[in-house]
Amino acid sequence: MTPTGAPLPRDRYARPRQIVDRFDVAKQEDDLFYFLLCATNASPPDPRWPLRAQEERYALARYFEYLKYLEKAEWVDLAATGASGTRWRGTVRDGGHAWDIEVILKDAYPAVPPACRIPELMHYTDRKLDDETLGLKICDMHMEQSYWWHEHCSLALYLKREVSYWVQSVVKDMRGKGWLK
Amino acid sequence: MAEVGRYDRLARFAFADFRKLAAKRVAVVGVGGLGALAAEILARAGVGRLALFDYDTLEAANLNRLVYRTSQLGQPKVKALAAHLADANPDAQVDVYPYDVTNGRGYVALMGELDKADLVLGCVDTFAVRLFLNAKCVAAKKPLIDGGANEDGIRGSVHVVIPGKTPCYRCNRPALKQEAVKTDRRDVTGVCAFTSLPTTMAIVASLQCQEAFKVLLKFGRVAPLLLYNGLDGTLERVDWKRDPKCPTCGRRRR
Repeated sequence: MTPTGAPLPRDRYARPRQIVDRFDVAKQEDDLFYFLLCATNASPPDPRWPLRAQEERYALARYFEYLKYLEKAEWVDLAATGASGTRWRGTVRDGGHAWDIEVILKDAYPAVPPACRIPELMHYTDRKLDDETLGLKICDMHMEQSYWWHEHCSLALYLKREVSYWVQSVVKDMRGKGWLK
Repeated sequence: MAEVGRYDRLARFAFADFRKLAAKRVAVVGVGGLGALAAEILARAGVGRLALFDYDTLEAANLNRLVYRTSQLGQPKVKALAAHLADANPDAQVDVYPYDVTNGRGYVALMGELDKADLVLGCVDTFAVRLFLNAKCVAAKKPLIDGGANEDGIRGSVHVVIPGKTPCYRCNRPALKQEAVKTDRRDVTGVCAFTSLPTTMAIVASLQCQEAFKVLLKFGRVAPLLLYNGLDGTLERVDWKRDPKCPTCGRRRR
């Protein structure tokens, strides 16, 4: 709500289908994908952030439901550390092992993806940015082919598309080298 | 013998008046291989005020490129560069922001600088931050000149984004697609693992500054996209069009 009590304005095209139509890559996704989008394009310093934070929580809740009841593999849980919903802590699990995960939604979010850190596994990645967080590949415009993030993607979608595959590939590699049972 | 001033050779330039640069303000985001050199060129050319953004400190891996010195290892890049610029041209006033522009103080400083700057030079190494800078510059209606070198170190490109006139960094993305992304690289240091040649960096930084002068002093024809290929020795100008449906700058964006 605004200070005057009027509801915060939503983006004109708030329906997921209309957001999805704007991004070709999105059309290849499954039904869950539509629940993992946010309609409001607002960053944490923006007065409309509470709306976006609400949508982020909704998307995360849908994703956790999906993991629990359909996938039956709750490989991640996350909880916001404050009311603003810009810092999240939790656990990632794979093959009986668990590691702490920390996700920070920076002030530039959602123009930039979430900054994710899994301290015990971070030494093991080629996807580390200069600020020691997991990133959507570093460097240059040639990366656009593998770059999928846009402002309507949610933290939940980032977990699903980026972090889950990354954790799986690291664990598989560690097993192959005998570093993990 | 008549005394020759610092800007004497620039004053002889026929297409524009370089003295006007003294009243200009330029923000340089990222002062690595590209940004440091670009900032030095701008300062030497007489740009009145420079704002430098970079949260990184100087490492040995940065020394193969120009500007920085071994004695500056461990210093914040912006401070090392500011010291260098003060010596190169004391006329240039330099503001340093050793912060991450995507968060906290750096974000606030960048937003403040966007109101005042005449031009933004994007010299960052992350695709997401390029898109972020592009979105903010388009929203603030400030020209952005983004430079980048490819992972092979021998090719590079310069995008000139003049909001409302030239395509933004996000327009026509598929047109830029080159070869497949190589994923067999492993980086355990946190430093960018791609190769980086001082020659390519100098060429791309110079092209960026050339376009910056054209935008600031309003002469010549601005090139929306320049592609440099050092293997073939070619420089290609691409006159691409704006995407009316571009989510960042399109007229019909939703």
